[in-house]
Amino acid sequence: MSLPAGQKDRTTFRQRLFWSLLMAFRDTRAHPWGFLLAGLPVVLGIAALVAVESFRDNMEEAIERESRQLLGADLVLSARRTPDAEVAAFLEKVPGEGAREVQFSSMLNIPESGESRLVQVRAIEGGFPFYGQMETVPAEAFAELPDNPEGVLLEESLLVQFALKTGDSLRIGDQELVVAGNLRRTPGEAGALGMIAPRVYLSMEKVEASGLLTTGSVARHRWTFRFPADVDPDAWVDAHREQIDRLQLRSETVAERREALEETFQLLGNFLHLVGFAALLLGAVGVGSAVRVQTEAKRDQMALLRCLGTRYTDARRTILWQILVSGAGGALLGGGTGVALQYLLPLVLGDFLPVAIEVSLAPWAILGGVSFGFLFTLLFALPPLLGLREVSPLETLRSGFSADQQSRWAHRWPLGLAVLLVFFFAWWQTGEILPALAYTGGLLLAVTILALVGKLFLLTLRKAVPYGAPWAWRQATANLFRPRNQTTLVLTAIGLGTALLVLLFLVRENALGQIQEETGGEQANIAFFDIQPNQLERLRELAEREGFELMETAPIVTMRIRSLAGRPVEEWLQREDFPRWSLQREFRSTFRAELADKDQVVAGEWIGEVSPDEEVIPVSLEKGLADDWGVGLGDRAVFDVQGVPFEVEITSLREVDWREMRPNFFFIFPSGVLEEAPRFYLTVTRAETTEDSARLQRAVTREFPTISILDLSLVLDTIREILNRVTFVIQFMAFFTVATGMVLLFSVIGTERHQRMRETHLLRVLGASRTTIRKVLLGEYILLGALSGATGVGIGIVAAYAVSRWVLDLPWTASPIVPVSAFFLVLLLTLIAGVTTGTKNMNKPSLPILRNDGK
Amino acid sequence: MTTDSPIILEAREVSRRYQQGRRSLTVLNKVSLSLRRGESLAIVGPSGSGKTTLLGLCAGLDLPDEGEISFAGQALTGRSEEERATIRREQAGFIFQSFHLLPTLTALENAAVPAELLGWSDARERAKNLLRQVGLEERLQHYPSQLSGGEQQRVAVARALVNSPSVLFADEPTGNLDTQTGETIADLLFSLNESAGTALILITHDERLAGRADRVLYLRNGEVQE
Ligand SMILES: Nc1ncnc2c1ncn2[C@@H]1O[C@H](COP(=O)(O)OP(=O)(O)OP(=O)(O)O)[C@@H](O)[C@H]1O
Ligand SMILES: [Mg+2]
Repeated sequence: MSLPAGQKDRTTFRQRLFWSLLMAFRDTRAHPWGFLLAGLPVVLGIAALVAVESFRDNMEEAIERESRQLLGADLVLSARRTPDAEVAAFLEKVPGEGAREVQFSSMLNIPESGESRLVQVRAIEGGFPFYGQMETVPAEAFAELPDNPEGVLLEESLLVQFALKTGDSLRIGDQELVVAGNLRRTPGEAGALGMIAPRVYLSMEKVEASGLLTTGSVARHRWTFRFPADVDPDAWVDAHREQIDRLQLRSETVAERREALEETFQLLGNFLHLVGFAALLLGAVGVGSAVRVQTEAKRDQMALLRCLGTRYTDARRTILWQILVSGAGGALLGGGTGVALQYLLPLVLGDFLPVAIEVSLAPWAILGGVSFGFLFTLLFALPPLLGLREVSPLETLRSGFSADQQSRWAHRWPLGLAVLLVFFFAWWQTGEILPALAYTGGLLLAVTILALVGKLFLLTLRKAVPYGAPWAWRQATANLFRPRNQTTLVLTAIGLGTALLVLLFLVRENALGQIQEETGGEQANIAFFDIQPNQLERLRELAEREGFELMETAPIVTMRIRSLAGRPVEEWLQREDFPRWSLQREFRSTFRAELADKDQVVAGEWIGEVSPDEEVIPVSLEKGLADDWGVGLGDRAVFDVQGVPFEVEITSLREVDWREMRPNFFFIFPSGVLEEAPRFYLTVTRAETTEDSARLQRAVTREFPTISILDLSLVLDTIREILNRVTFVIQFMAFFTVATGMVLLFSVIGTERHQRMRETHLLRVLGASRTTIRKVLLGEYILLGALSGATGVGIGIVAAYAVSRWVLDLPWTASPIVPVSAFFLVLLLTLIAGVTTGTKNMNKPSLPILRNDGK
Repeated sequence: MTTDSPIILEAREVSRRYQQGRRSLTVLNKVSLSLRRGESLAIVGPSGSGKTTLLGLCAGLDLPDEGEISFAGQALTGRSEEERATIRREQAGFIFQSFHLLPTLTALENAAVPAELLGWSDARERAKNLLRQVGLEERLQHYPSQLSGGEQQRVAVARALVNSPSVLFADEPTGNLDTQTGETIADLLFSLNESAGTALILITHDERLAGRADRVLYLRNGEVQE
């Protein structure tokens, strides 16, 4: 029967392939969860990636689809001042069909309840929107507005706030109006735009007849155009650039808007992608470690198969199949979850998007995310598999025998490939090399820092536990250093997630704290503006009657700048490196004899009074703007104050804290020259409670319907709301990474089970009591949890400090609550994960373990 | 009867050294042996004398530092691990002190593995047959963890023979078993070895077991003692 070598083996390649599959199947049959679970850590990461990519895809599609509706027109020209004859003549020359729009702030109030709110009033004359629609309920409400001078269209949020419905009456300024419908969406505008000052549409006829728009109040004028098919809007704008600049108009075409939008969303997409990728990375590392533990447990099998003469490739293939199946399982599950998530993102972000997102399956995004995730995961799973080459058949004869270790890189090259893959994926995403490089490098750096800090903590711990410490503690510490352990890995994974979460929460807290600080204490929180000079004293009396004190009052005179530092504005506008808006704007300046305490003169000298016939008026300029313009003390400018030229000289520069709610100005004039110019007043006060605030606002709107009121607490609520929504998405993604870290922990603990079981039983056999074993277990996970928590929280705090301080320029106001609770949360979760999985072993009968040589 | 059978395994003056830091430790020193088809050889000697090392070399699990080994007509020295694996696959059977069954496979599947590796379509039939011969026909679908030590070793015996090897390598096959069970395994080994015409090379500490072999090789400090 015994034939010479080389003749008994009748296998074909196909048979061998089949055999390896069969062995893989038999393996999973006995431990269905071992390898299959190994794919689990990557699910959330791939889900995040697929969701983000799909969302980006949907977004691009929406921009493409609504391309022309982004503006509702081919060209928009706008100005911050009332158009003069020259502007009107120019507008006449724009080809195609045009429409006119005016926007300004006013107070909406409900006569019955006395409630009020600052709104943005808009009126349109002409066929705007030329593309897309004003979405209203009832549908024709917008089109019928011109025939309904008493009608007003309100944004949904207003209807909800004041419990209004169509047909109800209300007042805007001093005008009685009737709700004509509900405004759902305007072309190219995000819903969130109306959060601070909700939009309200009136007929142009009403606006012009009513005197709602008084001289001095700030209005924006817009002219929208639909071009004939044969005129290219961008070319037309280019050809008329000079005139547009000279007339101090701003222009925007569809192409420009689109480009700006795409840029913004590229940024948002990149950011979400980054966070999603962090989750994927963690997941892949998790899969790698789970596979490592699994293959480690397969060493004996590998050695035996080799001893029986199995080809290395065949033996390896039996494990490769399992890795492939678990990886693919994880990737597909991730893809599915990602698609589900994709429906969630627009729900959260929808209000901030200027286009309506239609969620549709993005096959390329899904395929790309899933296959990238799968490939990436595979690269992390390969090193342990390749490491099996070191397994010698001699291990069957001599347990614990291990052949000479190859250099680590002999089987770690897939990790290098993974880094390359990241780079190419990023490159493909952004289309640029440098950001892709930075992205890859940053990621590497973050992981390295985390791993290093983790290692450092570990080493310190090892040194710190004295020999005299209780046995259970020493054993617990030793367990963290068990050969081929996963401690650094778990530490890095949980640490990364924790750090991300702590960072986000702290930065958010700092941002909110900053706003809170500005509204707390003695600071003003209600502003009144559009006050006519003859209303000022009556307003003060009314406020005092109600128990309020007007804290700071300033007259406001609107003016435009004609020339600066000896050169006309038109010339300045030619410069490229220059914030054009800052010269085109309408300045709202004040005049006063004495500066307020908070106005800090940093250069020159404040001159408070001049005689009316002074040739050159000394003024004070805000330092930031002076820097932007590159002008300083002694430079002159010519202002146009409602047709009258004034020459001024900068004699002092001031530092202004724009975040404070008080009348802040770029230019302050001395008293004595502007007293006769048309002006209105601005004043602020402070209400301690929301009830007080509401009472005052009611009283003021009842008596002065044309005075606008800005309630800072409302603004604050709105900002908080916006911050919450934005951070929700980010936190959601960060939560993914933490969750992935936990899944990783569970899977590592789960896969280390065999090893642990043997140890536990050995300890039991050696006479350790259950309590002692429990203590060891508890100690080990307390240490692991505390180390991961400390690493993550520590890095999170440092990162939050850096971001708050140097990126967002926020003072540190965060309390220790976030870091402390994050630390204990991580500790607790680690303990739960460890102890639940650990004590399960203890209750297992030891007989099969002994019988099967503990394997 | 065996004296004129062809030589199936031959080791000539093999030495094996291990590097222990700076100095090298000679574990086997110029050991020679030969084994004819169907013959049985027991290797005995004190612990650490190099028995397992010698067995490993003969089976091609390791390579000697000096000397020649030929197995089934082929020189092992100078061959890659993969080539030696092929020779093992076709010509060798193994029995270990600690059984080494694959825990995820049933008794039947465990016993069939070597024949499956050779692509034999009757792998299961052969395994079933052998398991019947070792008295485990009732236990075919059991997993190793559901078998006693003696039963596991009987499955290992069946596995060792399923590919009709020309040499059976056994390293203390009864070392983990009680005397009674050890006896049964030894009976099985020798009778199957005889009926299949397989050569047997056996390491043991058991004098009686060694006495049942055709020849006995004494090792001491890595050298053969006559
Ligand atoms: N990889 C190795 N590195 C260094 N020394 C080794 C190695 N493998 C075996 N040895 C040494 O070689 C010597 C022989 O080992 P071997 O296992 O062959 O002995 P043995 O005769 O089988 O002993 P036992 O009866 O206890 O199984 C021992 O002293 C052992 O320490
Ligand atoms: Mg031995």
